[in-house]
Amino acid sequence: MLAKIQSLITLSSISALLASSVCSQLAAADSKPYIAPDFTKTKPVKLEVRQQGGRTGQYLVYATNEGVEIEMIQGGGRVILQWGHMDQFQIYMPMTKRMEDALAHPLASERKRLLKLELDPVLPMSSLEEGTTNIHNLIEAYIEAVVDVEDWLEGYEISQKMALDRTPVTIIQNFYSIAVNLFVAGEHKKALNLLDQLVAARPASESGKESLIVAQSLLSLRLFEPSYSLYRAIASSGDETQAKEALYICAYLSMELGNGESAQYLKKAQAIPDESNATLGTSEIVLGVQAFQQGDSALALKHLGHGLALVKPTSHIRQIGLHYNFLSYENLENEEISTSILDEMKLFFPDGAFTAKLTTQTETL
Amino acid sequence: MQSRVKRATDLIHAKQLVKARPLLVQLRPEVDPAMHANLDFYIALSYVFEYYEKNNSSALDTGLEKFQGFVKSYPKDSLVPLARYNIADIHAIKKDFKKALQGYIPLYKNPEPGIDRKDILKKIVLIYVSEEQWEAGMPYFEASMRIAEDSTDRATSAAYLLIAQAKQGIVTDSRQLLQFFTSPAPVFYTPRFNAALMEVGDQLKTEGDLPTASLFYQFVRSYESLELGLTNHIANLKERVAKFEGNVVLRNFYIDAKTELDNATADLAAVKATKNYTPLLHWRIAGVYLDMERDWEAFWRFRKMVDKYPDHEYAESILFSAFSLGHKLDQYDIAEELSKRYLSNPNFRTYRATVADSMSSMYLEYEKYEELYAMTREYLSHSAGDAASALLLFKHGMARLRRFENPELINDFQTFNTKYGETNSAVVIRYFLGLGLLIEEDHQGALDNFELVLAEGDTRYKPDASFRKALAVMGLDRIPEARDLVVEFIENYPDNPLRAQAELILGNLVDLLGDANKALGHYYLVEQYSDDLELNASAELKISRILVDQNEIDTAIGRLRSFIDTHVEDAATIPIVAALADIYKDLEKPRVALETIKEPIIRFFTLTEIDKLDTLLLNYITKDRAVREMEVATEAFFQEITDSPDLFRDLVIDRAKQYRYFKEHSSVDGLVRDYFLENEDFRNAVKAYFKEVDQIQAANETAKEEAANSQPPTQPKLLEPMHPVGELAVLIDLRKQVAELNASMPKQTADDWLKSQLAEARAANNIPLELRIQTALAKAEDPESAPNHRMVQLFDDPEQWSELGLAPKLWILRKVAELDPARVIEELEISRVDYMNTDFELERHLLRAKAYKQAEQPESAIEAYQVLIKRFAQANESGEAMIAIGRMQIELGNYQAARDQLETILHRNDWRGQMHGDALLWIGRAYVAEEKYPEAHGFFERIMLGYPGFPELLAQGYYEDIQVLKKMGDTASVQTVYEAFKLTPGLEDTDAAKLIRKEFE
Repeated sequence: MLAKIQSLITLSSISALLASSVCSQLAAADSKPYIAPDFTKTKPVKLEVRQQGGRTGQYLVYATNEGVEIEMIQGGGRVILQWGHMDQFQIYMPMTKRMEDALAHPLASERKRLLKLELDPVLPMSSLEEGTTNIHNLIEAYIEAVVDVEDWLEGYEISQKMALDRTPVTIIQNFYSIAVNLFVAGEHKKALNLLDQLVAARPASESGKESLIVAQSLLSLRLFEPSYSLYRAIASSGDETQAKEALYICAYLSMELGNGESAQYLKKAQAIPDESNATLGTSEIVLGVQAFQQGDSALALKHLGHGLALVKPTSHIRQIGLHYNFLSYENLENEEISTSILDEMKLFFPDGAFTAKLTTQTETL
Repeated sequence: MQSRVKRATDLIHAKQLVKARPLLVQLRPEVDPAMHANLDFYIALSYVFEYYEKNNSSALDTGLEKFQGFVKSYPKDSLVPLARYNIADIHAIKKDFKKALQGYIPLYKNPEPGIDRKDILKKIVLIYVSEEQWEAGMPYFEASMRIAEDSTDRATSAAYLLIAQAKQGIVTDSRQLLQFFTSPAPVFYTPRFNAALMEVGDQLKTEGDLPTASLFYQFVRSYESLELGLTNHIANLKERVAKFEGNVVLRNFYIDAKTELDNATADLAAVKATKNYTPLLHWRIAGVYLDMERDWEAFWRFRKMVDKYPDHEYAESILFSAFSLGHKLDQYDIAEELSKRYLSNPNFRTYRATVADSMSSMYLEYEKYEELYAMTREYLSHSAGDAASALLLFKHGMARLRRFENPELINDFQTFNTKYGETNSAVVIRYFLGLGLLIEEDHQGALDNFELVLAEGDTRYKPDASFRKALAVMGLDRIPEARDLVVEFIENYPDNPLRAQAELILGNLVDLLGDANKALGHYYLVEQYSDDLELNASAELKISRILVDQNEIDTAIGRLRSFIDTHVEDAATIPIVAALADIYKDLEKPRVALETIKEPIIRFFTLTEIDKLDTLLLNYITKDRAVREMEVATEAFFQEITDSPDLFRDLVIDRAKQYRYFKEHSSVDGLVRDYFLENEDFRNAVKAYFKEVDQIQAANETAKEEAANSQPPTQPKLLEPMHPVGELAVLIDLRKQVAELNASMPKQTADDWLKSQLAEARAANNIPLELRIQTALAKAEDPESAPNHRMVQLFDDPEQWSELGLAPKLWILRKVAELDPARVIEELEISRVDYMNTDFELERHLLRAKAYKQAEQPESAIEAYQVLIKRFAQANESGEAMIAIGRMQIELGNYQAARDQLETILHRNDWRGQMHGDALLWIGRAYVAEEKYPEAHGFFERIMLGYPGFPELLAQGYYEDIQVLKKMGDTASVQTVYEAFKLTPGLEDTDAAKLIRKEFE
């Protein structure tokens, strides 16, 4: 008992440390802190528990906000395990016939339905430590089915039943793309909420990379608001090069959103000493957009031309550059050139929202 | 034997064929002939193995021979396909790809048991790729993609297919292209594939599909990427080769890995040998954007290359391309930086002239004159005599001329002449030197230079130099020669742009030679050859002057009016208006003159940038005031003669009295004066009136006398006296005419109109217009009134100041100079060009000289006055400037210099009178200061003898002569001069007279 208490104290301390680390990141990101779902009212699930000594048995397992409690059948009370401290136990979802059938169902919609029935109760268990359970793989299969049928709302519901800060990254990665698709589907509120949660919940090292991919996707889709939320968080990360680029893009997005914050982002970005080609290219493109918005199309072309010569051919920022290059030439009534730019955009970004916008605009005219 | 057969079989199975060969050869004669085919096959194969094991190429030849022999000997044997495969392999190893393909393709198309078609296909594909036979290889690339076992193989085959299709003009959907291009497959790191991509880009570019060309180019891996990619790939292959090396069982793996390693190594060597690769790629991309006229995108790509490849064999072309685009985009800073980089590199020669020419044009456009001058000097220091140096010298000279920097022009070109006078640039140097000297009125120097230019033959400067030579000769007063030269110029270059100017000059020359009618002919031609209204206006002024002289006044007026009407909206008409007004004034039609001026005044009044209008405005005020004064004076005159009939009579009869009266009363209407002076009807009527008056008076006197003498005295019968003079019909008629003329004038005077305009300008906060009015009104005062504090403060407001016209600026600056001459000097220096060739240039020079004097910088003041004299030699202000110089030189102790300057005044006949007198006075004073009293006395004496009509000057002459004579101790002469002074009438009230009286009384 004493050992258990000592163990709890130790784990609590670690947990507190982790929490404070996350909080500091959130504060830096200027976001709300992540609040995991309340598991106190979730029903226990009968799961297979394997102990280090080789003892195995099925027990009722309760998910709590702090960890899991395993109901010992012979009146042994409950064993309390802090999340992330699973080295003495392995908790498995029994592979029943129903489960196997659900996993093997060839129709994605049916697979999803069946897996939901099986896995919905164990979603809080996604907080279990990786490698100590098969539940993560099963949840992944469930989410895969959800993605296959593009049921983004269900994907969102799943995310709300897990502690996103403790769930393994392999599961979490799905939620980033689910968030993007929620935006595309018009579920802005839910999408924003999920993204905010992810940014607040996930460590910067991981969310930085994932967020960047999502942010770029959102930007390519011209979903400026969510992209802005993510880039703001990325801009607060420790990597100076990434932060600098993100600050420039925040400046750009601020211009698109008209929130009046672009100048402050530009100033911050310019203060970071990095002049890689990519960053310089981004900065020039953003300055080009700024000049365009200030009505100076000639200056815009100068900056945009500079930026476009530096960024990679398929870089997401390049389509912004080409987009404003098109608009600047159009402002200067040089239709032939703007048409060549649009042709190039159609080749390089055939599915890009910027291309689509200009194509529609041109066709309407 | 069986054991040997078994051993041979074991060795064959263990793929140790080289080792097995002697045994096989040994066994062959001993075994059943049915086994010969098998043995021969393995013997042949053993040579191929030997080649791989020992790298023995002669073994390969033997192998080939053996396999060919095998096929011939056993055409129906089941091993024949394998033998053919080996033959094809040997050809491939020997790089005889044509024969290799001839072997592989039938084997691929007709599958044979035991032969792996995939392997053959792979080899066929490799051969087509290495031989760059993209089109021929297309079906095999397609097949290879279809049967690929992994994504790398699939991407490789797809990439080859893509090239093959693109080469045939089939460009697939860009989504597919992008998918390939962004994949990390090793194929994208082979130089051959990238070269093919580039070629496809070239082909698309040629076909005009620029965006797709750009797509292909942009996915070509850069040299740096290729080098890195290949180096990594080679490192991996080396590991694989090392792993399989010596492993007989895995020999095939070894051979594959080794082949791939050899290929990759060769590729890397090829990449390293072509350092041009990346710049050429960027060049192509930039070229595409250039063709799409997306100049900024093209520019930046070239610009980045400039820094990245400074030593590249095409570095010069790269830099030139970047510069050209910077210039085309009108980016001064960029173009300047790049031009400096280009021109400072002595190895860059190809585009030197173009760069220098373009950049110098840009300097001119951006008014970066000092940079242009510096560039010329720098350029000439290493490339004098080339085509660009002539262009630079030309622009340099033109800039100096346009900026009226003539002394600097002469200085520069004299230096250039000393340093580079023997190069090909000599002509242009001499030409500008000639121009500079011509402007400085060093006519001989100018002539010398123009003659040198002409001696060089048919250069581009010859026509211009011919004309300028005539001007130089004209300046040397060789008028007939100058005329002949201009005529020659016109004959030689009838379509030269200077033709109109030449006709104007020729008109002047023949006019000087006394043929006014011929002059008119040349002046008439000016308009025919010129669209320059200023020049045409000059010709019109000349024409009108001659016509007036020839008393064809109506024709003159008609032409001037027509010019004004034709170009009514152009400010070039303003001098014509002023000339026309002067003609009317001379015709005693001041009201018409006023009316003539009023119209353009109103039209251009608010355009404060038209400086000529400020002069016309002052003219208008002066004329209006004079007309109003005339009206009053004439009315007073009528009253006076009405009240004083004797005066009336005298003014008609007594010519002397008439002259004196009208000289004293010059304001009286010219019409009235003309009536009194010349109108015989009027004069006779007046005379008749007074005769009758006299007769009546005489008759009445006689009647009175007779009546008084009669006895008894009777009442004389007197005749009725004449009606009063005021009722004289001709006088009434004259008054009526004057009244009618006066009635034609607007009731509102110029002053009242300007006051109302002033109120409006103030209400509208139109400060430039307000100042135009205030300045004109102030300058119409005598002495000129000063601007108030608020106006002076405008000088401290750069924004407002820049809006003001030149006249108000000078008016304000005159006031500022009283307190802060240094600031005024600074302002006048900065704004020098603004004043050049305007109505206010002279005023500026004057103020500048005065400001220097006020700033106690006499040397600079003298220099400033000398500039004024040079620019306005004919103006009276030049005489005043010479006097001012003389005075300052005396103060500086430079007595001889003072006298030299003052004596130039005496050479000018048109300055006889006060100006000459002043010069004499100051020359005398210069001698006094130098204590050369007898010489001084001589000059004062000249004043005393020669200037009776100038009382102040004359009295001053007496006074100063008395002082000199005193200093000389010649008291007798002092007394004589004093007596002479006393006997000279009209000096009593002069200042000098007071001084003399003080001394003697």
